Amino acid sequence: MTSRQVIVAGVGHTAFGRLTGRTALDLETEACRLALRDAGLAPGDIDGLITDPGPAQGVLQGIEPHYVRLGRTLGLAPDFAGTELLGGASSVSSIQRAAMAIGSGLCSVCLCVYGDMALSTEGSFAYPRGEEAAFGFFGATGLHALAARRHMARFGTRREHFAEVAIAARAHAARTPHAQLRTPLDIDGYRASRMIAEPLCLADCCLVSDGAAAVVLCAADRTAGLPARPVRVLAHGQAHSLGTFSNPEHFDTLPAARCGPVTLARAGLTAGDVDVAMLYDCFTIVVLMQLEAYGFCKPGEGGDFVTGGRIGPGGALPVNPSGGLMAEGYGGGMLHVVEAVRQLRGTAEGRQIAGAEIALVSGHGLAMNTHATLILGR
Amino acid sequence: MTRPARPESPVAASVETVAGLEAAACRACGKLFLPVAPVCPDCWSNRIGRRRLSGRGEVATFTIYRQAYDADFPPPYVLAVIALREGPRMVSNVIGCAPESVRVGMKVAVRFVARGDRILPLFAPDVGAADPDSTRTDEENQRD
Ligand SMILES: [Zn+2]
Repeated sequence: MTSRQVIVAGVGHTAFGRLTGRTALDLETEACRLALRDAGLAPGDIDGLITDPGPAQGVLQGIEPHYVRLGRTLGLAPDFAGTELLGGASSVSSIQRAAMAIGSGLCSVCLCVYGDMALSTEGSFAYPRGEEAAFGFFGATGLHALAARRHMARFGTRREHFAEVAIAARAHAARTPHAQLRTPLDIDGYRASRMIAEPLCLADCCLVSDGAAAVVLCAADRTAGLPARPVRVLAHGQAHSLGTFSNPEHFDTLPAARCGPVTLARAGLTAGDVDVAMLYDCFTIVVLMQLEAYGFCKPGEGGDFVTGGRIGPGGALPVNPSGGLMAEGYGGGMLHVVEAVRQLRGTAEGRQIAGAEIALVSGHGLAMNTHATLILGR
Repeated sequence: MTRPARPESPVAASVETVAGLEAAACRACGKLFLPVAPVCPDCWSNRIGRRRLSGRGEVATFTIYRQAYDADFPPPYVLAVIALREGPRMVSNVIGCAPESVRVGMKVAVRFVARGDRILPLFAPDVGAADPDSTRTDEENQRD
């Protein structure tokens, strides 16, 4: 069976930060309007809708799934629709699901949307972790701290390595006009950051934000006359680790180690071909683990890899040139897709990576259970 | 962090009667696993029994919570993944020592503690493990 080529036709997003007085629905519709305008398309062209509501609004309101509420508000009667359930991997998996639907002819123009009022909603990320909340297991930081401690114990990784990731993100964001946190960070500032769950301090954690972002995917045969330079979906993949914390591998490796190299290979690429790495950066440790999982360096060498500003602006591999979740804003992962598209279009202005042709976008979610990989090309 | 078991408390009294830490044991393939579930994750057999464990193991990884998330858990406290001697791992707390003294690989032994209306298997440094000539039994370690 031949599959239709899928391209990204439009991207858009709201401001990110504390947006008092707004609602998630209001932000999502703004992002959709902007993405549609960027694509040069009209509301009547949309025949697919996949959504990624953040943790504060959740995937259901009562019995109503999120895509129904957003689709009703936008007056849509799509041929394909749904809401993703992969936690932080949901933005990337929404693109993936849309690409599969378009590729197999179920729809032709699909809107993928993330939105939430996570900052203005108290305790968005302070949730109890199931049965293990009986032991004080709360939130995402403690969970990733368990992985960070393993990395330190197994490989001699130090907090200074984590600091490199945070410092690079802030340096990138200083060049991103819409970023939520644009003040630079240095090692002294990192060391002064208060501990949340050792060894992770506040500076190891991503932002919490109000905001929304949207991406329009389109069948290549429908793009004649559209204004933006098309960005192609080259490959995508997923891998999950659904075992319990009893699995001895759980805190040592990410499912990205399985889907990362495989997805790159599906596009005929290796890590060395990636010009723009948009890695899901909920915590600094997750960036190190992904650099290893995707094959940018060997297992255990993530700390050495990032040392000396190598993932910062002008580094050998700039990671998240917009600042990512750590400094641009918590956009679920959809802002990562938006930035990849801007870099490949060559419209990232003061932070443009010269000659960017291949972008890798990742999503990582839940209790380190889920991973999604997207490869985009110019 | 842990509420001391008060002698007059009925919950505290039942702590003393906890037999010991148990894991699910697959009667088809012998797999030991936690948490207890109705099917073996390796062979999917539903013939699942229980096996008493030594209650001893080591800290596979841990974090010291410094931020308060819940009024019942004032920081600092140690959340850890314990690798039990028999194989299964479980999330628990390390108690009975300064949080800063916890290390990956540290030997620990189970200690049942009443928390609210539940009795939870927590872990404390395993003094016996540090001394191979020790004649202390698991039960004695549990009652430290
Ligand atoms: Zn079995």
